[in-house]
Amino acid sequence: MEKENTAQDEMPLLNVIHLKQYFKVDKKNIIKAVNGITFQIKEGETYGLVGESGSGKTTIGRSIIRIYEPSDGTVYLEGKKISGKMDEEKRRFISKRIQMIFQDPMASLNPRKKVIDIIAQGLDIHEKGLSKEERQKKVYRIMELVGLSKEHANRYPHEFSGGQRQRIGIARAIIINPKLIIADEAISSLDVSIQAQIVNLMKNLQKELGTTYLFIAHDLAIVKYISNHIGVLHLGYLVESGTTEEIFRNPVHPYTKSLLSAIPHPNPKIEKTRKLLDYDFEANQETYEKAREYHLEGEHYVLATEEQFNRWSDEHPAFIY
Amino acid sequence: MTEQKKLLEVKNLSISFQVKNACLHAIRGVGFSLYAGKTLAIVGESGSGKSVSARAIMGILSKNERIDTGHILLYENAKDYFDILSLKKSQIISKVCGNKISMIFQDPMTSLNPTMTIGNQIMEGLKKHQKLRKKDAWEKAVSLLEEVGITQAEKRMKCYPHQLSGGMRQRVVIAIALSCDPDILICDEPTTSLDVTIQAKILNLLIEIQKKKNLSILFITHDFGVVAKIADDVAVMYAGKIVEQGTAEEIFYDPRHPYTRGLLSSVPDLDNMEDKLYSIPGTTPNLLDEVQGEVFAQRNPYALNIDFEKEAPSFQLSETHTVASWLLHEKAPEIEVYPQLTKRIHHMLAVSS
Repeated sequence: MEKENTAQDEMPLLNVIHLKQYFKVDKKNIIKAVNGITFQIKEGETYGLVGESGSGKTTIGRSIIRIYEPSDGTVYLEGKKISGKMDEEKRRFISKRIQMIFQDPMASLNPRKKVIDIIAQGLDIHEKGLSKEERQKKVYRIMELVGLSKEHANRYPHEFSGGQRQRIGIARAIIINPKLIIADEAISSLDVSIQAQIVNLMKNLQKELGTTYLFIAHDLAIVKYISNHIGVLHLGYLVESGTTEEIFRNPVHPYTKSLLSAIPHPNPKIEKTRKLLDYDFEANQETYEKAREYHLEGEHYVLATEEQFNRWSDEHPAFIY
Repeated sequence: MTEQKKLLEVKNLSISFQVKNACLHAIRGVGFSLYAGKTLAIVGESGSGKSVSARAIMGILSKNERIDTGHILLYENAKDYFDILSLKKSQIISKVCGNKISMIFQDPMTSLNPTMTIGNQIMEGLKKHQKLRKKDAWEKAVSLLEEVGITQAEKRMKCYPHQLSGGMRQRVVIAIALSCDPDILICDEPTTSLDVTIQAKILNLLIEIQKKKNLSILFITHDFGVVAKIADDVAVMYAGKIVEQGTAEEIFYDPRHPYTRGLLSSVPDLDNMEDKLYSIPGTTPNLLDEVQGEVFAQRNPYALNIDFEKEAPSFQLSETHTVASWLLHEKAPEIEVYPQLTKRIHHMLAVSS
């Protein structure tokens, strides 16, 4: 338990406590998309949020940046509360410090604007006093940083390939030097060779600028490469969280195991014989409500009922204290 | 090699697109064969021409797409075959589509009709191609749904596509594709839009059906993990050309073309805790611009001088393994292309033995 104390001494950049996000469909039905999620991200680190479609991973990102109004829970950024009642000051605080990168770069870039104006959007809002030359200089510098050339500045988004468009999206996000970037499936629609380029770019930018990432994705293999910590989401619950190594070396929750078992390995001899671990969540859905978080080792936590926890402990005697 | 029954052979296929005033050579001399009970995977990035090749087989090219050269031979047996390209479109639809070759697409929501129940959509083909009466068609449709793993099939027959989940919809699409007992199933990225867990289940389903029906599958994908699971043979495409072709084991454990090696290197590796992904520099070329020499040369850190002058011929390494790269020429220098991959292959072989 020593580790926990040291973790508390250091203030996390983002602290999400019991975040809930419900959506009212009609008078009777409420969709509980996010059910009391708690996690922290330290400055300069990457937190990977994984889960299948419908697990609530995108909703969490959007609730933090206040695209949605959270139903319950608190969110702190740099120790300042950013949830609750919204005012102009808070809005500026958030938009200056948190930026987002989206999945489909074509849909998230205005097709009628030139690249230079898309990238400079943040500057136009947050640094109004800039002269035209300074603005241009800043945009060129950022474009170079993300691997685009100056000549690209006066083109339109449709003139670029998918990977280049995502670079534009990244440039737009980093130009105002945000503390946190929420990357929502930022590389899912790209080709393998381009995926690798963008992941490496994001890692290099992190080294250079110290940006913190909340990396939302469904592909655990890619998440492994970029994240320091991973949270596994299922039906709006954080079923397991820990460092990347802890999750990959010792997955405890059956849902995490089934997700890991479903990742295809590029090795035909293994892949043709490997068994898929199926997790029947319909039978287990109810148990999430009664479950609580158990500490396993280091920063490794799992959501379980007492009965489940005892059962899994028997299966993993070495790792559970 | 054991006797294999050849079902389809694509020979020297070239397709160009008419774009405004220019001509885009999307497919440049592609050739491959499909065998009964076997899966050929075509791997490549977007724009490499893998989908266009598949659409040419089905005769569903757009108006601005023109087949310049080539033959697509559909075999009844070794002596009895015909060229699909010599048929009229209406003949292809009645003779080939459904009965001989079926196709499933990436997005099940767009390939299903949102205004028809799934039952009617499955029965449509049965009534048209197999001339079944409504009652028989209904029964066959129910059994097809059960076959693709849909529970409560009777009830699901009356559902509309939007009432089903993504994985279920793709199962329905597979049921429709299988309804007229085709010999060949073309799958164009059928699992790309699905979650990994659902993807694994759909792939298992396809493998199971293939075994049962001795189906030949042409599987188009960009995901090497999926290829490893499903493919017997693999063809790697780049910019409209097959750059390397071989059995799955040859491609994964002994890749020779720098593009194949680069692609395999950029696949994230789960067994290895290295923190950097290798990537191929640059992006896929615009085929509107005339390229001299090898198209891949611009992105190839290991390109030789001749790569910029002349296209590489195909080198035959084994009965099944062919590679189009100058690096295999006898006069080429010995370079180890993407050396980190060799380490990974050793590791892969060690793990799997």
